[in-house]
Amino acid sequence: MSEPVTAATSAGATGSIYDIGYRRYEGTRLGRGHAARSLFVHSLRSSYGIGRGGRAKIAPIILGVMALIPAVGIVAALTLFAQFGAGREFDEQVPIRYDTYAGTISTIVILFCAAQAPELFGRDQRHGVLALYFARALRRSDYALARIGGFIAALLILELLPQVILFLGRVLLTSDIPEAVADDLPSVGPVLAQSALAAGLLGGLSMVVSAFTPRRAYAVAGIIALFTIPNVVAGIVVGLGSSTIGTWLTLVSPTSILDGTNAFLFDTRLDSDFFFVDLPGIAFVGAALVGIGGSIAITLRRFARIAT
Amino acid sequence: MTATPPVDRGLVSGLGAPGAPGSGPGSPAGALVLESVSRWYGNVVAVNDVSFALGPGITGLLGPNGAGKTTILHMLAGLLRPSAGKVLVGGVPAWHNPSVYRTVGLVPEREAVHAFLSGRAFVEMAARLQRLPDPRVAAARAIATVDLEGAADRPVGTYSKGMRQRVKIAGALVHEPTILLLDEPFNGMDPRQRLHMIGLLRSMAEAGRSILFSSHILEEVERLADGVLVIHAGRLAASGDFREIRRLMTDRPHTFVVRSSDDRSLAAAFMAEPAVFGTELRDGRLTVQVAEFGGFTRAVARVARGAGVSLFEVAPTDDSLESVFAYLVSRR
Amino acid sequence: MTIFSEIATITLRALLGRRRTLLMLLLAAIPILVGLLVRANGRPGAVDIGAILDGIMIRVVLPLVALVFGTAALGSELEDGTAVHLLTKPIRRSTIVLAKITVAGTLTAAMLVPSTIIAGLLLAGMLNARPGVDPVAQVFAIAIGVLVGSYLYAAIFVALSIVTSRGLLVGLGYALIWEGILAGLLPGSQVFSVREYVRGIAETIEPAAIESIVGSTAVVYASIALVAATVIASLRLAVYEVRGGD
Repeated sequence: MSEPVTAATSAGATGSIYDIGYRRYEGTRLGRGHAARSLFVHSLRSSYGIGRGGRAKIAPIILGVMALIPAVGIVAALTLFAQFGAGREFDEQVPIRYDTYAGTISTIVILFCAAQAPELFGRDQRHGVLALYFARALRRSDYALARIGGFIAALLILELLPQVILFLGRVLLTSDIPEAVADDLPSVGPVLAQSALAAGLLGGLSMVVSAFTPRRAYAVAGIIALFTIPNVVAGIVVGLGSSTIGTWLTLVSPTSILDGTNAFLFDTRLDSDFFFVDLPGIAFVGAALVGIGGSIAITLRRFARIAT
Repeated sequence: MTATPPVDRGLVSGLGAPGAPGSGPGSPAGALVLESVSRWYGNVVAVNDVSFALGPGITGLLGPNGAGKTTILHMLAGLLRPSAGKVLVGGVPAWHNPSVYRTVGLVPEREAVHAFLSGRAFVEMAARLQRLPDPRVAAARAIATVDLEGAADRPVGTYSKGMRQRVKIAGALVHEPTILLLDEPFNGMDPRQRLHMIGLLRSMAEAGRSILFSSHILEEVERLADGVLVIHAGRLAASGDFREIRRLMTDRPHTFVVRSSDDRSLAAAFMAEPAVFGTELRDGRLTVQVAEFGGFTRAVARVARGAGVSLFEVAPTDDSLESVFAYLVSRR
Repeated sequence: MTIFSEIATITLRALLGRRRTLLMLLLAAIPILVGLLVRANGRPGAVDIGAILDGIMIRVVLPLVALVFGTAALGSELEDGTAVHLLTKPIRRSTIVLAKITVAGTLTAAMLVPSTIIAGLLLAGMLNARPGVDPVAQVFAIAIGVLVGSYLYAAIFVALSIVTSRGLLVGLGYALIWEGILAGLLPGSQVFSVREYVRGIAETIEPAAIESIVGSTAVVYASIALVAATVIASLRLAVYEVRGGD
């Protein structure tokens, strides 16, 4: 039993501090790089709700599954048709291919951005914990880059995983695996490039919106508005015929830019809506890169100046 | 100099059945009744088989953070459905019954006022939503009651924490409810505001209202409440009047530290007392373990006189509500 | 003042925070911007006003604005605790719900009906409507559809925000996935889509205004949906639980 601590009495105050075994940390302290890596991994994990409560997992899991459904469905359908010996013909006809996949799941990816990006930046600001991060070895820029990087990595997984399933399904369906691999190999480069551009642009822009909008509701609405409205407006104007305005509108609409890079990388025609845009394909890639770089720069600036 | 331990301090309880009603003043009139109430969230049990009945007067709901105090208050306020058992307010179920709010006022712990409203606008709105005949007058009276006239016309967003607390209380009082539930009402108040609030709640209790407030700070409950409900880990650990509980509490040893002109002979004399079952001399201090609090305090002066020893100090080492609470909690 | 208007007044003040109002006005201005852009693009020709208003207003701006107002009217108050003072008053829960829906719907309509009319008239001024259609009648028919849609979306999103704490996200999922993707893949699903009711009501008023698959039955569907959302919201609010802390 520890000694009783008596209250101060008229006979004189007593007081003592007991050693109850607190210990100083004597081990090595991991530095800035480790802190940044940890935050990157934390951002990636919490984008999927890993390490967070059950309620935080619902949205990313539902959206992740929805992004997989087309790939799984197509592989299942191809398997079924292969049983009836109609594999190849059907294969030529299916609307869900490497070059259309990013477009097929773009709504899902946008919803994922709206649901998860505000969680990463908004919660830190709402709960006033930024000062705690910046008091560590981490610099302000490290914090911003690790968070953006983690989120973009999460989006990359969302974009690529279904296509990996698609690839495996297509290859394993055939008896001549080397030939199937050789058939699909030319698509790997464009798939990787398009996924990287999409993850970077959508992820970077959603992080900009959520960095400036701590209130989750506004950030969610802002991200959705940014990704849908310019696209619709550009579509309407371009649909009326080729024009300078239409071209410029297309280049400020993130989702239209990604339609353009997709067409360029896979060497396909643009959707009919964009038929009249007289832009070289590489312009879309340039616009995407400018968007990615710009959004990272704006976010860095935001966190360099934010009051904690 | 002889100091007897303050008699009206401290609560002790070994009160057995959790079902025993609180014996606070005014005896259980049943303004607030819980009958074998449990509440769980998924797998987590927040309140476990709690029963009590409270009448007019002030009762403190005491327990550490996370003990289930807010859950109990919210069930009484009809904001949570009891998973099992019955919650009655003024004789009618609290859950799914908005008409109880004519007689109940709740002061929740969380900030619950639009920042853009002035204090007066908030209280007047509460009065109108209660369909009071003259909301303006009722609101002015409630604002005066909580001593907030000076700031009543400023937006609530500019208030200090204590002022927000008071404007919420004014909003809950405006319809003069017979039952008032307050969740951690003293949080954020400075000592002067605390005193004022204690006076206010006392006068409301004297007017025959039933007041239940939660707190994790023993001193607040000790100073204000007539009766107390000690809740720990969702269960009722003790309930009733402080003095009553202390009298019932016989199974808990008390320890006193005694300083005197001759500790050694005093120790020997104490050992002859039936109320004392142990003495210990260590580091020049005499520690006395007694089985019964009241018996020892009555005997101590007599024994010292009989042994011809002058007492300098008699201090209970552990008779604060804090130690009783720790005791009740560790016993489980 | 009645209880209803008391709740409505405070909701209106809470909803018209500076930032939110500004953002929503910005959204409401987008269809007008489209009208101006199309004019500036300067290619007069036969363009379907209905299709353009459908694409930008009915598909995007209307659900988004209604979603923000609908979920903020009650859901965000439940979330931050300001609704507790309302819940602990002897008021019928349906009164609270009706006041919230009315305010959210009215605000949405007040911003979007003028926007629809202005954008539509900008387009009508230079472009030809489809043959045999009076462009002004077409614009007003669509504006009435938007008016009804404002209240219907508001009711659905108020109900949603009581049922789930992430009403905003679920609402977006409904608008983008159900009314967006699934409506394309499974046309039959549009029978349960507010966007289709808006189009149906416009078509009922001016048959050539816009095309819909539900037609005049939209009035019936929309009424049922409005009543159902209000009733569900009232019932759910009556059993809404306020937990302490977080």
